[in-house]
Amino acid sequence: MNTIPRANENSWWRRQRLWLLGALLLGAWALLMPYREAWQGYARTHPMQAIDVAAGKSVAYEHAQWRLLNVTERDVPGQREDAMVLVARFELVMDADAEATRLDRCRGRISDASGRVWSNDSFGLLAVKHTLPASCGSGLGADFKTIQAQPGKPWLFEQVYQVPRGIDPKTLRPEIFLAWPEYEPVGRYLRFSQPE
Amino acid sequence: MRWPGWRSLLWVTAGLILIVALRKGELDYAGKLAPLATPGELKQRIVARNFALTVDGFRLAHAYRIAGADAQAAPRVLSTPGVWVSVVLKLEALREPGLLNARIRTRDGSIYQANGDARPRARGVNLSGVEVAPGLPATGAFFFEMPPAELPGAHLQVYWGGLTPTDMDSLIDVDLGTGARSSDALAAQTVAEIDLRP
Amino acid sequence: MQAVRNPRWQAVFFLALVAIVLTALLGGFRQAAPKVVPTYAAGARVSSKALAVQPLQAWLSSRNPQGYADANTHEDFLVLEANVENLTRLSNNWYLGSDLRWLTNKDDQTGTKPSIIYLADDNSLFESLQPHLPTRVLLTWKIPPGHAVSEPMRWGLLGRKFVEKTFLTTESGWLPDGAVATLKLSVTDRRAPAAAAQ
Repeated sequence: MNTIPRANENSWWRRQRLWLLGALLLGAWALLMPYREAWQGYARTHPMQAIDVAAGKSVAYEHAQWRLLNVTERDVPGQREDAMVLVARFELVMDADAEATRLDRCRGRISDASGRVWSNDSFGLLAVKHTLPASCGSGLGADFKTIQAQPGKPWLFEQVYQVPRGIDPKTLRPEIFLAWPEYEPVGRYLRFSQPE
Repeated sequence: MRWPGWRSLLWVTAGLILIVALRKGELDYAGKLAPLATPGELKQRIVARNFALTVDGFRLAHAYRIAGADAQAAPRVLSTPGVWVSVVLKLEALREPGLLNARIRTRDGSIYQANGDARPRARGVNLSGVEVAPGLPATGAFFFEMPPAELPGAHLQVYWGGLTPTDMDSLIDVDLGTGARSSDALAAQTVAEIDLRP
Repeated sequence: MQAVRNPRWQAVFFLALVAIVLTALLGGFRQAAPKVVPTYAAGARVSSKALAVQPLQAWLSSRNPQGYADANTHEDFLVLEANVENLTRLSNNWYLGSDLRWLTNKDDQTGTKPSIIYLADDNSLFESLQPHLPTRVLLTWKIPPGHAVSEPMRWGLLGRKFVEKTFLTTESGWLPDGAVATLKLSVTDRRAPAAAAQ
């Protein structure tokens, strides 16, 4: 039997249509699932999807209420001429079941309308004198004792950024991102518009 | 066993030949993940995916004079078994802040990684470990130690991130222009000492 | 057990028996002789194919090359000064840190890796070896206090072989290739006399 039966009443394709459909679906699944998993893994530690916050409003994020107070320019001696230093102040009210140490892992950035971002000066390299704690959950208070955000009570903190001179500071939007979220979908981050 | 037939045998052989040819022609591991190189010239602004640079040129020296470890210490002379190559350039980040790394690739494929920020320790000059942010370019130099014989045909490669180029990310490749010069000319160009102190 | 009666299987068993007897007769089952690794003295240049080492001198000291003694453990330092060269085409610090090992006693088969490596020129910390650039380095080992120091000391050098495409992942790399040389140097004792007398 060297020949393949041809042009049958019921062709091979018709007879196998259910199996072929199954194979197609399985193939699509095999391509999409790893991509989704990789995306999820990446979004766990990278800000991917912005939650835009209107000026002056507060937003619920990771079981806390966040609000941007203001963004001011700070004069820092020894600064490079083409840069300016901005300080953003936030108010945070933790829910009853939130933890200050978790919120401490927040990452701050500031972005402009075209999508360029600048990091928060988390290492203190800019030598800016802080009047408020620099972290989202805890900080050094008077006489160098550690103070923490308390549930239900407003917690004020500030973030410092170095951006190029020549950008209108009012168009910049401070961002807050918490990696490994417990309550939010992965990859979500807050993007605050400045009050007028 | 039934004789499968000449046609089936032909298909099988064709399949085997195709498998072997595809496997042999496949890129190796490093080739599959190789970064995407953007070539460029000296004194030209070259743009990669998320960073740009302009290479001014390079300088050759036998030794550098750098400041001592602290204010009281005497200046030190840093020598090398080969020759010091410093490539002066301006780095710009286009989208987000980060670190850039550099290496020199010679004609025979050898890779010379740029020295870290400790050798030479010259703050404001050594670009190793210096973070660049959008709109705030960094000017300075990367420092390399190389045998003088490998200089002709050297290319500078700059890339974003860690010690080795990130897989399939951007990389800028700049011909330093040493190919045209003879080794005598390069040797004559090598100064005895450059003072890196501010 | 029907298989044993089958003449084809009988032929297979017979051939297997013949193979075993032949192997035994040709000495295939004897114990392999241990590989003899040549010994070199100071000044000899030994190559592991990835790294060339020319040991110059060795000494014991209670201070490390940067001049600091270990205040907590009062350990002494064994320092080996050598001219080393990276024979591969990529600047790295892998092979120097792991292939040249101190054999603490006669029966030591694996050796200890150096704790810290310095550049002999200025006693700064070693970062990485550039290809084809011979460099003088100081490799240091911490000697636990009270360790019996035998004279002369021995070091072992592990060989490497270059593999273009590994079988599984088609990566290229320098794989370990067994011991290649033993270096034997007499060690000068530069420790303070009080410590040496203990």
